Amino acid sequence: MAAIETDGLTKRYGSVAAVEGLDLTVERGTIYGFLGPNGAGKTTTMRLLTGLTRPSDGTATVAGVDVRDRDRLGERIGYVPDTPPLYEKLTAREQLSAVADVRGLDPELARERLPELLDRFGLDAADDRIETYSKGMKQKTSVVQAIVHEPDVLFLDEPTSGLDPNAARTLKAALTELRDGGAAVFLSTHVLPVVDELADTVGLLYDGELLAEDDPERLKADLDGETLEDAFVELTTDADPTARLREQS
Amino acid sequence: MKPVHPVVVVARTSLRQIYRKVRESTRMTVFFFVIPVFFALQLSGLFGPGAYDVGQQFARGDSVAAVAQVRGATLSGLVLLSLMGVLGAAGGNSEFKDRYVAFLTATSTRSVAVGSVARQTAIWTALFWPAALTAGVAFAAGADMPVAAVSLVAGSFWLFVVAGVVTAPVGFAARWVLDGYDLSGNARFGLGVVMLGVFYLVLFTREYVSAVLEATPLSWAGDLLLVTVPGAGASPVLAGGFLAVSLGLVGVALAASVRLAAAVWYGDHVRRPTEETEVADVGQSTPIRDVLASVVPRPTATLVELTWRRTKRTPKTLWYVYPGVFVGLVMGEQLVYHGPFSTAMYPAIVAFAGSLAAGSGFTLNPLGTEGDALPGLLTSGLSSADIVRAKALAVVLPAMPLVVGGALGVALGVGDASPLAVLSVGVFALALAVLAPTLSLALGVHYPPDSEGLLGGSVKVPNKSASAVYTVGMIAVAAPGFGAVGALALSPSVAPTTLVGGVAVTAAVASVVSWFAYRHAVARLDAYSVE
Repeated sequence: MAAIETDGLTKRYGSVAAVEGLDLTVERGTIYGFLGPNGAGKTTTMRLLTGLTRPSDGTATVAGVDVRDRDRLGERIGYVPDTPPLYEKLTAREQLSAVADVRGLDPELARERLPELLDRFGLDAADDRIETYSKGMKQKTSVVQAIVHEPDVLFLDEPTSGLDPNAARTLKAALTELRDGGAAVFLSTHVLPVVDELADTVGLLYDGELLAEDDPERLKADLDGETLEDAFVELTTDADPTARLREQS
Repeated sequence: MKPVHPVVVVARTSLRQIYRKVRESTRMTVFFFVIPVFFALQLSGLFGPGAYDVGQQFARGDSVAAVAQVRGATLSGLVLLSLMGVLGAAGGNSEFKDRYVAFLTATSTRSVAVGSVARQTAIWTALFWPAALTAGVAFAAGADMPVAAVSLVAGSFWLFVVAGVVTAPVGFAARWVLDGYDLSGNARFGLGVVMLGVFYLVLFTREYVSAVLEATPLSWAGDLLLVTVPGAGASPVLAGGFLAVSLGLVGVALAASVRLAAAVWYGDHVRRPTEETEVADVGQSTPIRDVLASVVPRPTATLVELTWRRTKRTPKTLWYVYPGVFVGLVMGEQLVYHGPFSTAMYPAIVAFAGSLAAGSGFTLNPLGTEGDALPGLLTSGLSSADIVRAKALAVVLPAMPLVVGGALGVALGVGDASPLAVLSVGVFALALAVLAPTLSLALGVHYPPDSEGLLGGSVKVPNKSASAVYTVGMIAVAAPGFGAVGALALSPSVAPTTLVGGVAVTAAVASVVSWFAYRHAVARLDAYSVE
């Protein structure tokens, strides 16, 4: 069974379609790079797949759970939204301890796992309140919170935003490890070298529709781009990208 | 074309921003319309005695009493305006730097500070001066002396300007002190509550305050307002004196505002909050969480404990709890202390006001008070029922003993209450203490996270509309029981069936409403979609 499977997934706001008829399959043990220009519908798709937003049409399952069943879905996923979902008045240690408890993690396991994660991500100010953190520190806390329970599917929206190179490298290593452990990682970012480096498959969303989907190397070759950035720019600045792709194929 | 002065640009831009915000929100438009209209109707005398009647009294020849009333109202109004100005300035300044950051990097601090004071004064004046204007016109109409309106209207306008400008530096200073001293969140909030307390104290003792201030130069404000009222005995010299002194004060206040604004915005006196944070071992829970987890599932216990901890560190989220308590004080004062009811009414007041207050905190905006963490909570695997139960428990656990215990304690304390009366009050309090959080949750989940009020910094409080609907709901359910206890407090010989019947109706309705409210909150949260 695929980690993420959508069939005609659609979200409309009045007459405007933020996501239109999205058919997507993400296998377990893979990293999926989800790209698209601003306003393409990436965040809406993330919210649909994490159960935060209700679809207008179509179906979607994540780790075998219908996205409309938010209670069960939460147990299987981790989510790092673009704004770190943290309680500013808590310390990182308190936040992570609470999340571990809320997720029903065995206290003994949490006692082992959390210091390791704090150490690994360099969260040395874990006893200071989150409100005093830099953007990068908040982002690191948000990432640790999303992986503390070792989810089946991890969703990340611009996870490297605000991270220093060391933390970004740690994050990339953690994502690779999760993938190697059999989890699926759904990664949305504008930092294309990260996708180029990590992703097994790249999907390009444009105007709410999936325009292209392939492994990064093939996508670059198809669009005669040296880098993923070339391919992205080539495709998203085309007057009629769909016709262009048809022509290529 | 001559360039517009930066002060005007700052004030105009920030006012335009507020104006559009108001225009785009029906609720805010109604608020900005209703407030001046309400006060205008009250003061003018269209409903009940007011300025028009005082004018007529003046015309009938009873000028001494009429003039005394105008002078008294002027003085107490001036004090109230000043207190409101201080509260507004102290609260608003917390956001000033963020609000004006674009201007601060484009023009002088002086222009931005003066512009911000102008903005605050303009809002204040737009909200409350129409009432004074109407009252001035009503007095002139009642006295049949059109010329009287000139000084009453213009003078009151000047008082609003003076109050707005002169209190601005106090607000900046308060912000500077709060930022600079390592006060805990609770202490800061406590100061705010004390200020509110002073405000209400002045409101209730306005006659006394006016009498005291009559002997000070502040009373010259009355001369300014009455200077064109023929036969009012106002001294033009004293009116001019007030004008001159207040003009000087405005200048000094503006200069002080500029200095203090610079200190607040650029000073390095701000200290990080370091207290209150208990260092917990990773993965090791707190004793409170452990105790709670012995009776409810651990995730629920965690959420309850987390809610308490966050509330303790951000007490401002309990903003609407204090009006609930205040309602109780007013009811006690109006119904029993100065009213027709006996002390047997006090326990019912404690039960009602206590419950009303208990449900007026974070449960009135369960999604909004989660802030940025909301997506985390919704994807944490906790069910909607878990979340609703945890939020309700976070209120019920502390509120139940306080409200029920308080009501029973007062019932026993006021003496000569029959066992039936004490029992009835206990049932009444219990029913309302359960109803309060469930009803407020059922209403609160209807208000999405972006529709709550912002109370300085990033602190969000429940939506005003949620608070109003919740209060009406609580009144409706409590009415039969409250009425029954009231009947007993008016006449001890009231039939026991009246007491028991009224309380039973409230208890039954509260139980049914609580159950449906709980289920509704869960269903609503289940269907919640981030749009």
